[in-house]
Amino acid sequence: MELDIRNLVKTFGTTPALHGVDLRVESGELLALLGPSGSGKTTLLRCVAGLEIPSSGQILFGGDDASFKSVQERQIGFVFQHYALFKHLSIADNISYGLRVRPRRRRPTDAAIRARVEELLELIQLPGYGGRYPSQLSGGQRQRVALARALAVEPRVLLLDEPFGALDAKVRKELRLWLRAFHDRTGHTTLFVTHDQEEALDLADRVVVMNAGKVEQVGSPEEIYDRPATPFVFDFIGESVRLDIRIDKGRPFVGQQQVSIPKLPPLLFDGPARLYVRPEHVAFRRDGEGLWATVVSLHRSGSSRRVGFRADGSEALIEALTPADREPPRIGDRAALEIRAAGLFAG
Amino acid sequence: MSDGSAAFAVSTGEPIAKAVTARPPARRLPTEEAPWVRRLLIGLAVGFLGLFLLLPLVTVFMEAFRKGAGAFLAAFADPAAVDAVLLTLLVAAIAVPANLVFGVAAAWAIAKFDFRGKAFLVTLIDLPFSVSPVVAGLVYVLLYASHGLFGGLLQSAGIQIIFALPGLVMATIFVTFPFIARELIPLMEELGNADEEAALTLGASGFRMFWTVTLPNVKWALLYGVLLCNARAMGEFGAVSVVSGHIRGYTNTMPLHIEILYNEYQFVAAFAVASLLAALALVTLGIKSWLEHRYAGDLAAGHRH
Ligand SMILES: Nc1ncnc2c1ncn2[C@@H]1O[C@H](COP(=O)(O)OP(=O)(O)OP(=O)(O)O)[C@@H](O)[C@H]1O
Ligand SMILES: [Mg+2]
Repeated sequence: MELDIRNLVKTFGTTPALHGVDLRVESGELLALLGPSGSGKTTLLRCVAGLEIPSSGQILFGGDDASFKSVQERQIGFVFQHYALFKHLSIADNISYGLRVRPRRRRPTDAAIRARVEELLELIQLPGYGGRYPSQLSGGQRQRVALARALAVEPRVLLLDEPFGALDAKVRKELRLWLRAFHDRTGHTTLFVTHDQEEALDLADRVVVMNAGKVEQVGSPEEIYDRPATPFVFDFIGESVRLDIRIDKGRPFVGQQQVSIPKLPPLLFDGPARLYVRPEHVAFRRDGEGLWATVVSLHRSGSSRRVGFRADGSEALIEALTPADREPPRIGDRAALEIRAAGLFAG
Repeated sequence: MSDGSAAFAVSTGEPIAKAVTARPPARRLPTEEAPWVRRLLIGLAVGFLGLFLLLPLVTVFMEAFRKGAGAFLAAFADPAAVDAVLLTLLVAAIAVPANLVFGVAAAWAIAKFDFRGKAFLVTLIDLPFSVSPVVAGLVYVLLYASHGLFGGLLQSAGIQIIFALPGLVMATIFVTFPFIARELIPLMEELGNADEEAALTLGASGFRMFWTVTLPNVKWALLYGVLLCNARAMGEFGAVSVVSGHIRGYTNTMPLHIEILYNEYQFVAAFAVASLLAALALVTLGIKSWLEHRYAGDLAAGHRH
């Protein structure tokens, strides 16, 4: 089932949480909503679920306007950050809850419900856990039960709000891989919120970057990482340094030095501009052509070493990566920087 | 051989003895009081409780049995006493369920929704705690007695409230209203809406959600509130006294009956009925403590009285 969100606006009192969100989720797609805290991710998800009433705009489920449909009518599956499992019910009863609350004529038989629970327990790799209670499971297991509970009712769209937010890094990674494999098998249209960019880039078919209630960019993980569309995305995704530069007769300058950046479209304006550069796109040599700079810092981080430069005529710290086993330069050394890729924005 | 072992024992014994004498004096935690302060405080608390709570309670039972079990039982042979006991149970049986419904509704509204005047409603719920029960009784008389504000209306409809069962029930509801709501509000606020929202997204109706999710989540706090409410409903004197009119066998509850007996110098009978009332309270207290002990974790979120 595809999902169409059109010009969605939500204000809480006077606080705007979403202003004008347009988004289309294709059928069977795994879409990640990524953004800093307070950017409106949860609000968007809750509006889709019907747990929040939008101030204006439309939400279409497979072409049908759902604006006036209740939560129950929307047939969504929602997985909450803190699981929200029913503590007083066993795992099996939790999973079958959505089936058992159906009106009698749509309710499966007890045998069918039991079979469905077994099938789902198998799917989440917790067979034989049906008799336990939520308090007897680990966080990761609870989260999988929450997912099974949401899936039991065969939702048209699956909504996950930071499903792994409360788990430690290792379990998160495992569950992430598991969810990807799980999605490939079941193929639910899925919208999931995270503020962990690695998670979003790893897991999703497409990533939506949100900022201050608006969509900044929608694209595949490669597009988002390699071709950030706005300064915000450049800043937010991955690492980058911002250089304040000047465009003079269509050529970029840092201080008095002209810099050459490959693959840049022709510059049709003059004046101040911002250049965003990622560490992996900076190379340095002791001589030759380039942006001359001085080594100001050295850090070992894991398998690589970060070398910090200050370019002549700029205050920004430009970092480059080199393998840790290579002889590093010394602080105070001079080097010519080559910028192999960068994003350039006017203003 | 034996010499060697003796020497060995001596040589190790000495350092141990030294170590014991060299141990530094027992240290206190910074939050701990000196032993004499501790003993004084505990003594004061125990003495105070004994004098003001335990001794009177023991006295009630001693007075009740002063002239033997026969005199004690004779007090309950009086039909007026039996009526008083039954009326008390009847009033509690109406007032407690009524407050159960109102209390849950009020707690639900306050904990789960934001609306204007919420702070005012919270204050209003606490009103019975701060207003003297006598005042509450008087207000009901002013409103519902035959000469009162709604008196004419009620009389023409043939309904009597003051000096009748409805008045007793209303006064009791007023006085015991906060117990259940107060018990539920903090717990419900802490639990938040997440479980309810989960139930809704799974397709449950609002009613279904309430029965299968909300109620099980608060059941221990609810039971606790009901017990407290019940204890208070059975023991209430002030408000009930004003609206009752003390009609024997008709509007006399146990506390009122005890007072009448006492004023008539029937001490044994008075204390016999009083001991029954006290026993009911003790049973409630016992169940409450057992619940607290058994479900400490579930109750922890709620606050204590
Ligand atoms: N119930 C509410 N009442 C008032 N303001 C709210 C409410 N819910 C959210 N907001 C506001 O709306 C904005 C967006 O909140 P939202 O919870 O959607 O952010 P988020 O992107 O999910 O953040 P996080 O990553 O921290 O979960 C925030 O400024 C928040 O303060
Ligand atoms: Mg959120």
